[in-house]
Amino acid sequence: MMFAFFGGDDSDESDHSFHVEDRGGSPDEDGDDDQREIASLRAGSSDDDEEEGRSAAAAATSSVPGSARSNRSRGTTSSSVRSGAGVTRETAAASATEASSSESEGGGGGDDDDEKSRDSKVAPLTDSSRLKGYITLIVASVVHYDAAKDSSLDNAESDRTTTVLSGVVPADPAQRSYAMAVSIITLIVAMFCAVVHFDRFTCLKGAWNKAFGPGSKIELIILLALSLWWLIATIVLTSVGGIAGPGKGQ
Amino acid sequence: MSTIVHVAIPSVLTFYPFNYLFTQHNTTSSYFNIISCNLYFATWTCLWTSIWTLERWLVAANFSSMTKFLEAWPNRAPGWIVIFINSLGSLLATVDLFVNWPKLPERLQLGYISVTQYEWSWLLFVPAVTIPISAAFFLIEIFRVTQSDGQNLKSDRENFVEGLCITLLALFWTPTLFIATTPGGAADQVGNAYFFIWLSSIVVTETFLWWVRDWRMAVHNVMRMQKEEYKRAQEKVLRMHQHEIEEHLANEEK
Repeated sequence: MMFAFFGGDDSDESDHSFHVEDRGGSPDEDGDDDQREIASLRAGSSDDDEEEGRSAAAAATSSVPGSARSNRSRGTTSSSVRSGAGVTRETAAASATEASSSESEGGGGGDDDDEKSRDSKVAPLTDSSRLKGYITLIVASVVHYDAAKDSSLDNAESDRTTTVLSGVVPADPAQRSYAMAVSIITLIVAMFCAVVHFDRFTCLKGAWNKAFGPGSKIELIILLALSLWWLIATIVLTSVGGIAGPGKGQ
Repeated sequence: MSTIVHVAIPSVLTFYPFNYLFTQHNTTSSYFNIISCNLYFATWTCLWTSIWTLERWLVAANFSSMTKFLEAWPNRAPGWIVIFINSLGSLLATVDLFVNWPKLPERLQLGYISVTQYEWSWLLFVPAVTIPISAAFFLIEIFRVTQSDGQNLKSDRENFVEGLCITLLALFWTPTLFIATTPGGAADQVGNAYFFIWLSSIVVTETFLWWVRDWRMAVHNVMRMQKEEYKRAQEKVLRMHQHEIEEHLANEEK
């Protein structure tokens, strides 16, 4: 069903008036990624304690037989072990949180240490669900830049016959410059965001985690600006008067 | 459509780098004598990706995503919302074509000279009619009082009117698609009008099929209820006359 796209998650089965409708949505894997990211950030899990977490997760899931969560974990454990990520990781992160909280509640003098270690263990930005978007933007803006650069057809001067026969309309210089500027700026912004996601070495690592973690206002501003930027560019470039308008062949 | 969304778009996005590496210098406009439309598709890809990434941010920040928001609407309102968005896009793209085609280079104008005034009127009329109808059917959900059991039921009359409207729209959009996008039509070139008309036709047909399926389900439910009621009445009669039947059978045995 097409509406599965607009609602990837079937969990919300609202009652409908006179139909029993299966909207046929597939489980929202990206949603799972996000939940995993949130869970791991809250729990402060990192790659180092995954192994530890897996055994804890196994213990946790076996203690609740028949629950949806346990079934889900049981079904994905083997793949998670191979890939080093997955649902088990979320469970592991939750178990790790519970374990650390029970330890701190149980007394002992390690409360401050626990807090410090929790702060120091932040989910790596490479787990961010937005990273795929930035990488796609890099690729798409490179293609866009190249197509915009060639849209004037200047580099086909020597083969004018081919150019005329192709049915492609040469771009207006101003619009060509605009298209190139749009893609160059996007490329710079997206590359910056992507590089920041892979930064594990510089002293700014903590700052990037704050700026690009879940719920970050800075990232929201960047994404809103990019969306607005491309909305305007799409209207300008793909309308009838634009260089990528109907029949222009660009 | 879900196939398009779940398979085609990720495939395009996945293979874009390979496409770029291997074919870029052959498909850009200046080297190839067939139109490539790289700029057009790259522009839409960038817009789509920006919005997709924004939505990922919303999900990660524990806000409701656009997907969930759309899913939360009751009955067939999600279908009407998608129809509204696409028919609005169709109308804007068609108006853009209608107003600006005389400003195109002469070579491109040739494609629009043969488009009759009737065709333009029809192409503007269909989305213009679709927009208020679709808006009415999803906005009405806002004003409907949810019942105490949490159900959001439509009356039979409303269902009938909805079915009539979606059937009419399906009948309007199918010829519109043929007229506009076949060679010689106003939207036969790769562009916004072409894709929006296609999308509008698909979502209208999909929503129409959704309504038909629900309608058939309702008929099936009524028939099942009637059958169960008949069975219950039959059992009741049998229970009432059980003594007489037993006596009758006993007499027959004697």
